[in-house]
Amino acid sequence: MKMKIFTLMAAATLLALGSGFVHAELKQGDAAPSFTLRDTGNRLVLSKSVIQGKPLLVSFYFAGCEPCKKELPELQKLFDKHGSAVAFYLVSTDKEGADVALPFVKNLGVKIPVLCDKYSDAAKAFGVNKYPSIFIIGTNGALLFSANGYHEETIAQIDQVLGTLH
Amino acid sequence: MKTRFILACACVCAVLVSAQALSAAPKTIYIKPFSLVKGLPATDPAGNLVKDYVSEAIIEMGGFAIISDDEVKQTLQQEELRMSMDICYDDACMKQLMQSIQTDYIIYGTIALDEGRYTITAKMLDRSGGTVQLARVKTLEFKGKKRIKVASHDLAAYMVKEKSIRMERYAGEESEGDDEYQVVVLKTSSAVSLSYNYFMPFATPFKDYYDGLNGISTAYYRVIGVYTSLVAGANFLTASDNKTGNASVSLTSGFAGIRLGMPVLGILYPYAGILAKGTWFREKGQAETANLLAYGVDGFAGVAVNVWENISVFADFRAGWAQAKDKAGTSLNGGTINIGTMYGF
Repeated sequence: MKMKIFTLMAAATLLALGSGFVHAELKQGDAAPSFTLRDTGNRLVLSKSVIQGKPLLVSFYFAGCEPCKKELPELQKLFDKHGSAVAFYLVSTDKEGADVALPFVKNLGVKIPVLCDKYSDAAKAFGVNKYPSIFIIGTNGALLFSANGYHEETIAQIDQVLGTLH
Repeated sequence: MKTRFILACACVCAVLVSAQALSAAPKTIYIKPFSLVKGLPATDPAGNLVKDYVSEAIIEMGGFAIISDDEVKQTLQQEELRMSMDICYDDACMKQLMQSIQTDYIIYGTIALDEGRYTITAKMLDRSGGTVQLARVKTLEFKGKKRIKVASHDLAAYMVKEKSIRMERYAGEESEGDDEYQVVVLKTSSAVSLSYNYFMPFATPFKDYYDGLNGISTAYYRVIGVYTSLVAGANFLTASDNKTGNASVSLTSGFAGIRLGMPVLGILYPYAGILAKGTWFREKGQAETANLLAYGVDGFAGVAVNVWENISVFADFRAGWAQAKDKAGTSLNGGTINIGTMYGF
């Protein structure tokens, strides 16, 4: 019995220690991490500069990600609807960069600008561990909304949040 | 015929378009101005000069998108990073800088001047594998400010292409041969050439039968010193008839030797050299075929002109001696006019 309790305590301690290495999940209202990434034309895009003008929506994906294939065309519709009021960026974590990231979205008919996070700098900062992962950041730098995975209701929620930003 | 032509054009276009589509996106690289560490005043332009020369060489090599200083300064300013470019010189700071400006590679280093000798140390960090690694480090020491350009170009080629550096060019005092961009074979370690040949026999019976043979020659050059290259190649010459009637003749040779030359006025490269050769003469008449093998030597002299970046054109005259290994010891002596183009790499 003592042995079992000891084993359980040890496991709990290890889990607690292990969790220290995982990025804390971002919550609504938290200051969103800032990032600097290059677009597919090699131009630097600084999130801080972007949010000075407009709220920002970023969606992390990688080429071949099945749920992303469903989500991206839906995001394109939201981009067409809210793109004038909100800055949209797709963030690819493909190590190969634009060579792989761009054809994937183009094949889906998506025209949202793509940023390359080849070294997952931004993905780590946002604690992304599921794809797709979406974040909406307000002009004050605070996180307004976040979600991961593809769900139809999430798209509706995003549409609703973006609607309030016009 | 017309349809075939259109189809052929379409195929060529498709290949060109697909080749364009498949071309990989360039890797990003930032070349930081080199820090002045000893014997150079803070206002000395040497650090920026090295950066500019390294950038120049990398642009010429291609395959990289170079990040400008302005972009870096702007990024650091907007990111509100306290990192100052002037005091950022250690590996840890460089790693942070690489992340801030999202670059795959960074080249940085130092330049010092001590008792008339320059020392340039260049380092390259590589992030393309996922983690930042020290990819290459190289130090060059030399006398003479003029050599900064050559040294920077050599360092750039070593850093991004792992090209070996000919250290002998940094020995001794500064000299005329230090100017790197003179003739194609001097600024690159290797070159290939393709040329037109016209061969005129000098000796009987060969000259009695033939006015001349036309053909092509190709050669490979390996630069082994400022004035010296090793050469190896082959040529193929032919004539469709001889003076006595219908006979096709060919002269195929392989050669290897040495070429000496000296750059003059920046773009000219007069040269001379000697080649050992093996030749196969073949004559095919209506009734019989004759084959002769010969060994000999060619002496040559000419001039090359650098016309564009790695390309030069040249013309030389070769006087050749060769004796066939037949009973009569037939002479294949002759002179060859050799006009062609060379590409250095």
